[in-house]
Order: sequence, then structure tokens, then C-alpha cells
Amino acid sequence: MNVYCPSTALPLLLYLFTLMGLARAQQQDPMTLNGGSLLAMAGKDCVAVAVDKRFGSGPQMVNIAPRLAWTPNPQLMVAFVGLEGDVQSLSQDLQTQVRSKLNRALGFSTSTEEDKRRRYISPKALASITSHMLYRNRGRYYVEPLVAGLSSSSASSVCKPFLCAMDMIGAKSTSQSFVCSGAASKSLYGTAEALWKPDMDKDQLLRACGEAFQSALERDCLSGYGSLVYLITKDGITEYDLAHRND
Amino acid sequence: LTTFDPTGKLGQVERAMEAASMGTPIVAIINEKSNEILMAAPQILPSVFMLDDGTARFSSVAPHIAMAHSGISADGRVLIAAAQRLAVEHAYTFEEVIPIDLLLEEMSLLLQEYTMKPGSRPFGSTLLVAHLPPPAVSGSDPNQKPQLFRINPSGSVTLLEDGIAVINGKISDDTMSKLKDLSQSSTSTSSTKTTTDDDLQQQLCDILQESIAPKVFGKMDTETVQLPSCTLGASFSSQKGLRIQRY
Repeated sequence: MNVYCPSTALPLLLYLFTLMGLARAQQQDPMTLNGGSLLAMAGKDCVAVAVDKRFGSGPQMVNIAPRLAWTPNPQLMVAFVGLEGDVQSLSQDLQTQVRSKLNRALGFSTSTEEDKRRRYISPKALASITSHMLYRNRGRYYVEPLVAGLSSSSASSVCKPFLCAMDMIGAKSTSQSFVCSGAASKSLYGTAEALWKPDMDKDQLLRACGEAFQSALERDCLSGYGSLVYLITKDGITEYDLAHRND
Repeated sequence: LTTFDPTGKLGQVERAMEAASMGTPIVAIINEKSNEILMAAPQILPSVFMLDDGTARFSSVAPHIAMAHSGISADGRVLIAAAQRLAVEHAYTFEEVIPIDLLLEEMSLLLQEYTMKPGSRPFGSTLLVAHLPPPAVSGSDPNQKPQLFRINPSGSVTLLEDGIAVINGKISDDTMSKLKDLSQSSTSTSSTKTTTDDDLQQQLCDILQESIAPKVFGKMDTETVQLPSCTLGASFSSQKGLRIQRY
């Protein structure tokens, strides 16, 4: 070929190396490939969980759909963020495991009332089994779940907030104030720390959680496009839809 | 393998229940006021030179559950070990004590499995399960009351009424009422019917000796009978009761 002569070989090689370098740079960390973020905050006898709605593939936005959250009972929620395929698998596996053992009216029960026969899973137990499941697969699930709920003891009517975030191999970190996961977690730690106060009532909590979440997500290109804030109280779960700048 | 006979009965299971009914009698009472469950069984030894045969009749399965077996000791031991394993595995996975209805369901499934398994026979031992949950401030949840259950070799679970259990013993009506009185007596000094802990145990042993043990005594010519009784209170403790000698 005319082109391939010693004087033009060097620029050609340089060009090829640059192409290869660019291709490698496009391979993204599986945890942040699809984007998404979560934040959960505790107030006085209530918990707020914020999930975002962006589902993307690297820098490109694919769909506006909220992050998956499963509520085994009206005072407990587990939300997932990470690689979407693993999120779907893990959440289904977890639901199967939990439902086979708990969260159903067991075969033998001393009560005749349906709701008393059902044995609900407690937040601590749910966090525990999720952690076991993640570790059992030793890092093959690129998911960082978040367990948030109210642990009510039958002895009293006081509901203590329970928050627990996990990394992808199941290391639990519980907190009395807030926990966060996902692409914007570094920013979320900052905004949540700034806005959280102890013993907030549910309106204050909703505001603090929503504001902290929104502020952090404005600066993150991999999360956003709207968010849902779930407020968990002893009466149940309420969903609030917040609008964001859609970019 | 157990198969149905033309009358619709399971032959092996019936015979297993017959074998289990030949075991030593066990008596248990729930004393709700002092939040205790008291269980007693005679220990029949063929010779005055023998002290103990080493088999624990009463075992602690979980911090709030104790079990006793009566019938073929070897089968009883296997069942108790299986229950202990279930409790430990549940605590490992869920970081909580196993709920009583879950334990009962799993044990009953185990016993039933062996009535259908090829090459195996059913267990020839009846289990007495004592459940003592920590006292609740407002005890409205029926799953949180102290309870006694019996599990048959067929796998069926029965909740024993009135907080009194008699396994493998024939009791007359007035013995029943004596047991009822015992279960209602209080160990505090402030009420009219007062008994101390040791007193309670002594009375239970007496009842066992008078009314129930004669059924067993009748079978042997000379025996030494010990009455180890076991209290499931704040802690599980098993102790030797009085020693009776008959010639």
C-alpha cells in the first residue's frame, strides 16, 4: 500500500493507540453504569426514603422509571440501586427467600384472625438476610440496597426508625440519622448531613429528605429526572413525587 | 414406608404413636404470674446402684423455647437436635430468635416427612414444646403468651389448653384441678395464695409421684425414682428433685 511507508508509520500507530485508549475509557464501572441514587432519613417515629428516576446507559438516558423498592409490610421498605439487571435478580431472589419463611400466615398458628397469623419480617431480619444473600454471591451482584423501616415491638406502640445501607458484598452500616447509596452518594452524604436534625416530625423530615436529595442530584449527571419520596409512618407509606431539572 | 390400609389408617404412624405412649410421663404447668414454666418427669432406674442415664429429657432449643421428649429416647434426641439446629440457623440468617410458629411448622414438617420417606420409619417419640416469650407490657398478641404444645409422631401439633400439659400420663379430674391450682398460684408474698419456688416444684413432684407415676411404678418391682424437674423462667435450669425409693 502507498500509505504504509516508514515516514507515515508513526502517526498511524499513534492514531491506533488513541482509538484503543478511547475504547477502554468507555468501559464503565458496573455500579454506576445505569446510574441512580437513594437516600433514607430518620425522623421521630417516621422514616423517609427518596429514590430517583433516571435509568441510563452511561451518559445516555434510556428511561424515566423509579428505582425498585419492595415493601414487605406497611412499615418496611428495601430499595435497590446499581446495575439494573442485578437489581431485578436480587430483588426477586430476596422476595422469594423472605416469603418462603416469613410474611405469610404460617401453617400452624394460635390465632384465627388473618392479620395476627401473618408473621411480618422485622427490619433487622430483612437487613440480615439481604446481607447474607449478597455475601453468598461474593460480589457478583452489583447492587447496593438500602433497608429502611420502623421496628415496632409488640410491647409498646413506639416505632423506632431503622436504617441500614449495604455495599455490594453485604457489609451493613446502620445509622440513626440517614443512609445513602448510588451514583450521587458522595454528594448525598454532604447534603444530608447539612439538612438532617434529630427528632424531626414527618413534615420536616419530608422537606429535609426531599431537599437534600434534590440538591445532591442536581450536580450528578447519572441521577435525577425526578424522584419519589416515600414517607413511612406507623399508619403506612405515602408516596410523594418531586420534580427535578431533567438533565 | 408407610402406606394406607383399607380402613384409611396409616399403620406405621399408629404404631409409632403407640410406641411413644409407652414413654415416661411428663407434666408441665405455666405459671403466668411468675412468668415461669415448670416441667417435671420421673426418672426410672432399674437399680439403686444407678445414678443417671445421661439423657437430657429437657433441652433448651432457643432462649424462649424448651423441649422435652418422651418415647423412644434415641428418636427424641434426633428431634431435639433438629430443633436446635433450626433455631440456630434462623438466628444466623435473620439475627432474631426463631418465632414459635415457624419452629413448630418446621418440626411438624420434619416429622411428617418421615411418614412418607421410603426406607424410613416415623419417629417414635412425642415432643412437648414450652414457649416462654419475654413478658409484654400490653400483652394483646396471642403469639406472645406462654404456651405449651405437643407434637405427635404423625407431625400434628396441638396447643395444650389451660397452661397444663401431661404427656403419657393418665390423670384423674382432681389431679387436673390440683395442677390448675398450682398453675395459678403466685410465688410473690403479697397475694393470698403464696408459694415459694421450691414449694411449687415440690408440689409438682408430689402430683407427679402420686397420680401419674403409679402407672409406671406398676410395671417394675423395685425401682428408684428420681424426679428431675426443669424450670423455664428467666433462664433455663434443670435440677434434680427429690429421690424416692420404692421396694
